[in-house]
Amino acid sequence: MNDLALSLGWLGLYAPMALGAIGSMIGCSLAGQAAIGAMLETESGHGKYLGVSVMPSSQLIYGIVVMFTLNREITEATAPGVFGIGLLAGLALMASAIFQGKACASAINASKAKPDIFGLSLAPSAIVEGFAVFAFIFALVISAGIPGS
Amino acid sequence: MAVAEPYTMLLASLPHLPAPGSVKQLPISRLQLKNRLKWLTPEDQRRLHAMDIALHWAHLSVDLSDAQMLQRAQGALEQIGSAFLYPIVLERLEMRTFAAALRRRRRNQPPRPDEPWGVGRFVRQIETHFHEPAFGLGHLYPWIAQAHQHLQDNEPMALENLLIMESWKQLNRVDDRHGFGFDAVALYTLRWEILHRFIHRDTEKALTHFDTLVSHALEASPVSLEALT
Repeated sequence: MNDLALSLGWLGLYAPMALGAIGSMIGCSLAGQAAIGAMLETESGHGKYLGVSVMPSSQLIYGIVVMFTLNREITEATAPGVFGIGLLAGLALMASAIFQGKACASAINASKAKPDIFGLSLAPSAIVEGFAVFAFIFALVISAGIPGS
Repeated sequence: MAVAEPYTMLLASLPHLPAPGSVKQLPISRLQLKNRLKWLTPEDQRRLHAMDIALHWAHLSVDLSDAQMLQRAQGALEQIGSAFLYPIVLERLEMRTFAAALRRRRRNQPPRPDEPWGVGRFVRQIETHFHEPAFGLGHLYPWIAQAHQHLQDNEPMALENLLIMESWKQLNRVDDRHGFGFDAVALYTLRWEILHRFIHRDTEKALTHFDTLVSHALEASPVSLEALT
């Protein structure tokens, strides 16, 4: 039982970084494919398409910060808290990166046809980013309650 | 968590298709579109081909009977393999069934009970309400009465425009342009075909007529085409 609790503690410690990275990979890949497709079709504005396509990379950075904040000695007392916060923060970051990637791909596709809506088309991606920031901030706040910080 | 967006790059590389009537030139040529569609998997290319067989009949021989045409379309319809696309293609075939029924009524040639002549959910309804202007379906399809009027007034171009615009509206209603899967690619090709038909409707008609005249002339001539070349 002790070993299982410690293992879960370590899993929770690494989860925000690993899940954030998985989400960012998928999100950037989706948005990046849309950016490449748009570059084939358009003669200008390539830089802004590429810029939008890297938006889902922020979740990995949030995941790294959460991981370092949770980093402490993993004991029977700290493992449950680290596991719970780390895993849930990681899942939230992964989901937000994937769906932000989809929103960015749609924004690139739509603004290619109608360049004047470029700014507005990014609003859904920004809102998804906002939810990732919530998950990130409150993971930091809650982690202060785990002993050993 | 669904992350399958296999055709993100393909769809992003295709230009926006404006509504028929707003442009005089296609934003992407048939050759360019064909080249882009090579990015589809072999299975999806086969599904797209099935959709093509179900919907595009212009190149078929005039010797094919109605029953053969219907069998061909029904067979292809079953192979599309998409619960999203099936009703869209079926509705397009039903639109042709309505157009065929309107033409039959103009010729005073109601379908015989045992005769295969149409596709879809309304074949029996049309047969039982054959002499009503919109076959008793005016509340569902207001355009049928309009099409009937164009036929009565001998306005084939207005009828063709009406059918094209109705097909376009039908696709707008189910538009899935923010998805990046096969359904979105198939919808794009359907819209492209409609736009192509609208832009080239006069030219194609003239070319078809010319080809028919040439074939008839060659058939009637004692000199074969091989002998001339």
